[in-house]
Amino acid sequence: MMSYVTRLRPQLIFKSQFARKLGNAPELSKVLNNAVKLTNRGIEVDGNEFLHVETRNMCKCEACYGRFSHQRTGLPYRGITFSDVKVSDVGKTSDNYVSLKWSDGHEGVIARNKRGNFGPDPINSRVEKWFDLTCRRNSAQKFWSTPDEDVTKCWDYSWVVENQENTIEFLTHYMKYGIGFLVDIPRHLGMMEIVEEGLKIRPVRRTCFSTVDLVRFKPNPDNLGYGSGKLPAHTDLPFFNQAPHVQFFHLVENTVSGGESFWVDTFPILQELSEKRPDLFEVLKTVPMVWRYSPPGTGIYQLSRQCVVKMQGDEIWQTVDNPQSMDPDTFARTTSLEDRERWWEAYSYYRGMVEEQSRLFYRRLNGGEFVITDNFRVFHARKDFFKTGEEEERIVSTAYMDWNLLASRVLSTEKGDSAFLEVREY
Amino acid sequence: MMSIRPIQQIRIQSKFLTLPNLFTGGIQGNKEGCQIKVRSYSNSAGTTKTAHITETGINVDGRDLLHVETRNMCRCEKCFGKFAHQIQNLPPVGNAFPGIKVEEIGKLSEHYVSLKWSDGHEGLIARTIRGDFGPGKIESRVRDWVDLARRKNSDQEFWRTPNEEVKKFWDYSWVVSSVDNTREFLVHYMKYGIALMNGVPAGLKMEDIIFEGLKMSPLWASCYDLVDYVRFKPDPKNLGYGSGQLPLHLDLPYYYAPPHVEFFYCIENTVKGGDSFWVDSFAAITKMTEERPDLVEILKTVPMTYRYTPPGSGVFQLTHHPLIRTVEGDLWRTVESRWSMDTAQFARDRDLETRKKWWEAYLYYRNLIEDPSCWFMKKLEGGEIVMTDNWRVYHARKEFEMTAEGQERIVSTAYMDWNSMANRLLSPEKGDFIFLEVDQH
Repeated sequence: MMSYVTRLRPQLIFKSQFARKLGNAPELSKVLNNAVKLTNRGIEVDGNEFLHVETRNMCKCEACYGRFSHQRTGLPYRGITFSDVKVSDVGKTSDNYVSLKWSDGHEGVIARNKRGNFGPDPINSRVEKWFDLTCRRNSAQKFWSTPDEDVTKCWDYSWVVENQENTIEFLTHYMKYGIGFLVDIPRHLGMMEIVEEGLKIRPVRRTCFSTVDLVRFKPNPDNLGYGSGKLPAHTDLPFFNQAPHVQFFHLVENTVSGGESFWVDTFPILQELSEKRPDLFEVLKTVPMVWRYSPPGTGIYQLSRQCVVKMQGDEIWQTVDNPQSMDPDTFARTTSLEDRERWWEAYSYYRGMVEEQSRLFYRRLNGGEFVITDNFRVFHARKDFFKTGEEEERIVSTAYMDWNLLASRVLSTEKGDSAFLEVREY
Repeated sequence: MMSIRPIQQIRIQSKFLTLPNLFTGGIQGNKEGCQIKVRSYSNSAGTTKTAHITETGINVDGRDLLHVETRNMCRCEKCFGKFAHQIQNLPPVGNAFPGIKVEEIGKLSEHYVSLKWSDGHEGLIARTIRGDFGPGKIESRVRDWVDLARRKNSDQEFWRTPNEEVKKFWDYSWVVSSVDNTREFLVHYMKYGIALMNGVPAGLKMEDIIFEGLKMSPLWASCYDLVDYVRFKPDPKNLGYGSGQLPLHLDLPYYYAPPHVEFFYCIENTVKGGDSFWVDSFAAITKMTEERPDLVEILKTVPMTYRYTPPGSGVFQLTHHPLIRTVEGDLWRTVESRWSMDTAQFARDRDLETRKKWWEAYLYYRNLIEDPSCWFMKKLEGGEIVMTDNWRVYHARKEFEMTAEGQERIVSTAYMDWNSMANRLLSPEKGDFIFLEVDQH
């Protein structure tokens, strides 16, 4: 058995008699040789090659990696990347870790796998399963050119909030399709109760519309959302340099005539555009429009410049588009005629695709229904509505959240349930 | 050579011009003999401005506008909500108005031009910033600050070494004493990416300073809540709560939308050490672009993985970001934090060759950042507050220690969206209604 001291300080593994005996054991020598070896550029572990510099930055010993914070600790002000450090020796190998010694004298461990890097189950298996989806990789998402049963599926609220596994199932559905519907929400529940207590995700992001906005008709509205007119397909809040990512839309009451909601997934459109007209796609990626929200008397004056399409490498990352908040005048003042000509050609072409009826998913939402949309991807819209009786109302409650907070709910254990790295057991 | 017939006063009979006007018109001919209908307007100063239809749209005061964009620029009250200042009544299909053309130019006034389009709509567009945004202070603020508010590099001041402007302290009471002073302070902040205030009255909390003093809101809530109090605790769930040194970094890279404006309020700092320091990454990247544009390209295209996953906290955040992001060729945002980097995951996500180039680029960049001659260093004292541009200016801390009982280092931090801050610069006060002057056209 390893001594208590050795267990706490993995770097002593190189000095412990036990470890040396392990290293000399014929079966383990073979394992060590096959699993890990030194190369010219670094080391190879299980067939994966790591550079010297990255191994030193991957050290998970408790001198380098805070046990309680899971952050790199003890970094100097300068030379924090350990650029000239090389692996000088490979020590013990376990299921999840490899001991290394570096030329700066440090002895530590690196993780061999996700479990070693993130901790044991359930974290480990959730990360294995959902990592790509939570990082919004297109390969893990499900684009929909026409709404299918998965897109239109309604989830029972009570079932979703019953336990974490159900919530995760619902949230990963949302992350795949960019939209998720909840129904049969108890009428007494408001937005914060649904999101923070039911789904257990927080905090909600505050905007110029407060934390939770109650959208109901008012005359002379300082935002078109508070009117009764139709709203074409759009994403919300493009006048923020960072538009909010997750949108919650709770239909509190809907007894008016009209007012159907509809949604469209822009990502397959952009994918098609990039294939059919890459020249126009390039324009939407590189020429930013100006967006603005400046209702008189409100003290609000927000202006941003962003491209309609944002990429993360080769991945489609975000669409920003809101025809009612476009500022073509400032765009015309700040952008060359040539760029504008190209932009309007690209935008009109792309917008024509967005408006194809076959792509749209219509639904008249009823009281007690709730939609989460990916405001970076799925447009929403509304037909106009009108009251035929005095008591009729259309009341909607809206709120926003950062993606990572929602993804945290998918990946994380419950608060208080610690999942430390297993470095001490190594 | 253009020939112009004599310009006469013309009373326009067109049905969509209902007011008598100072509108004059004439016909211009070019050397090919084509006739271009020119509308012109003369103001009391005798300045004549013109508008005419061109092949691609119209030309107003020498400025070319496309047909399609004029239709989207209509400021009549049917198209542009008086109270919302948003484009309204868009058709469900064709709401970018493709294929539309201007058919006729009507009346010109000082700030507007009447137009008639091929879809039958008759309306007007703004000729001037005032026409588009409204009169008075809005117009001049937009004119002066629109590029700074949009983070154009041309309006920012990069600093490779800290100069007097960067290190300048602003008196809190002066800053908050009037909206113009506050704006002057914010403009300074937006230019340099950092601004410091001192003389904050004891007892004021962060919320008081921001909401009541600077009159900006809302704050951006993170996993650290709206306002975080950072003071030493053992076994910290975040290194910020420790006493060790924190090398240069930007906050919260484990959000896909890292917060933009950071407020750092030193409430008490009686410990030994704990000096803060800052550096402008945009200046470093500019230098790197001159020296090694190939490496800058890598930092713009290859994302690193970041994570924040303290055990037992219920927080598990993972992201990936390229270090540098640009917009229209402008440096837009830097994202980086050494201790939140997940090198192991990065190594799993990228091939070896890409990673090799990335590390080369990163080390080069990091050397520029870590040059002490580029640092602005200061031990903050109680009552001092720093605003930094968390997309641009790195911050760091030297280690500190408590050498006597009662010593403390207590800092309060908060974040805000850029646009909420820029709002304070551009906007009139709440309740101060500034409508467009379309009724006066």
